[in-house]
Amino acid sequence: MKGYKEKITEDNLIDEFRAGNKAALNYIYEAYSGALYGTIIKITGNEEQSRDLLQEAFVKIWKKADNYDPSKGALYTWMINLTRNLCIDYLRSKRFKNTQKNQALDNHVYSLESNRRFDPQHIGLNELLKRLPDEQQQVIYFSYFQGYTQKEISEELDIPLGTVKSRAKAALEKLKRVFN
Amino acid sequence: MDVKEYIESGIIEAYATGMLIDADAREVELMGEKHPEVKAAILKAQSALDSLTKAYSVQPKPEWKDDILNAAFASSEKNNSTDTPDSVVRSFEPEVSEKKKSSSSLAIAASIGLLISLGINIFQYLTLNDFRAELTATNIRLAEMEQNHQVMVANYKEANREIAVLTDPSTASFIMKGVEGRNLEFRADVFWNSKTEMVYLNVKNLPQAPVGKQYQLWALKDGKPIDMGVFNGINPESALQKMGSVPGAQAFAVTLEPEGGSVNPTLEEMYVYGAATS
Repeated sequence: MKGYKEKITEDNLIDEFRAGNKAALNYIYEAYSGALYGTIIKITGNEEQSRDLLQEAFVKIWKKADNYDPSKGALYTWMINLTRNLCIDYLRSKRFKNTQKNQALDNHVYSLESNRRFDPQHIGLNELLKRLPDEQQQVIYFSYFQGYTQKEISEELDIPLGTVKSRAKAALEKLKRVFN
Repeated sequence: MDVKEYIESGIIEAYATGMLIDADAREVELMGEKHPEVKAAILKAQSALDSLTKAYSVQPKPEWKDDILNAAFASSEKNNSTDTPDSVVRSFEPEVSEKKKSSSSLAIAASIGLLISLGINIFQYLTLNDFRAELTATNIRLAEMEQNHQVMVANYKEANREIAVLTDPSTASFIMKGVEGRNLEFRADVFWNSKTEMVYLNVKNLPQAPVGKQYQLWALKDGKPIDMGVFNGINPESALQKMGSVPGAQAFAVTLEPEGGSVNPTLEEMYVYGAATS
């Protein structure tokens, strides 16, 4: 591959990325493709489609590089949100095409368990996630991983709008403690 | 609206998880621009979700990388053109030497020089490629280790919390052993903290409670049993289970009760009992 000009480090990554240095995208791929790919699988539950979505995500990330505004948040947050939206759009179009109505919400597996069930480290993570009460996992899963709005979640789960918010808050408080 | 109240309302978490409609999301962003505390809360919420997604990492197949990156690069022509400035075509006209005949030894020397230089180039190219491959592998390993590290730190914090309870000088222990008629090897220990009045249980040896039944822990104070909560047996996730709180007790006991527990202990179903160890 051509285009390695500047040595990319954590420090100049953002500048080089926004300036369109190909080496920066290479760096991003090395560092984050695993996280993006894993999240795509988590959202779509479909490994085959996930390879294409990963490519689409990288095309978008590269095309929109100059849209990224560091004052608004972390580069990773921007990339993962872009990737999530891509996947959620894909799910929506699939749901739209799918005339079968029996795919009700409660048929979804909404746990936040890791994709890699047999890795002992991930079992550790799953143990931690299991401490999130089901109703909190559910809210994170439907909003963050399935793209439902607050109103949609409230209607589907038959809980007040405010409860959706407070469950999301409680869940994130716990995640912060787990990860920080 | 008060900024603190705004942060406490859960709107920021709703924003970070993407459940807000665009207009509402834009409002949260504006609040973040106006108030640094709101901004900080947004970043924290996002960072927790970032970590969650990183924990789901699955490495894509190595052979996909070139295709995916090339597809990205091909998609935006603008970057391609700025990126290859030396692809300008140069006209190449051989210089006509005036002393054609006498140059054969010079040509041989030049060829040898060229060969050597070519050899060095190839060598450098191969080494560089090795380094690149190594760097890739190292980066992948590093990402995996970071991820494992986060899980281990969380486990470690949990373990530390448990140790803190055990080593606190205001914690008293009660060793509960199998009572007469039961397996004498049964054992569960209670740790009671006189400051927080919290009761922690460490089940060492008790069979798993049968379906429809649960164990119930009782604090015995002045001859009266006080309900300390129910449990199913050894907890695989955490050695210490946090139970109820009690201002003080002379002893603790465990009975087997219908699921959900009873108001009063079924004395015939007592499994273990222990008074304070002094």
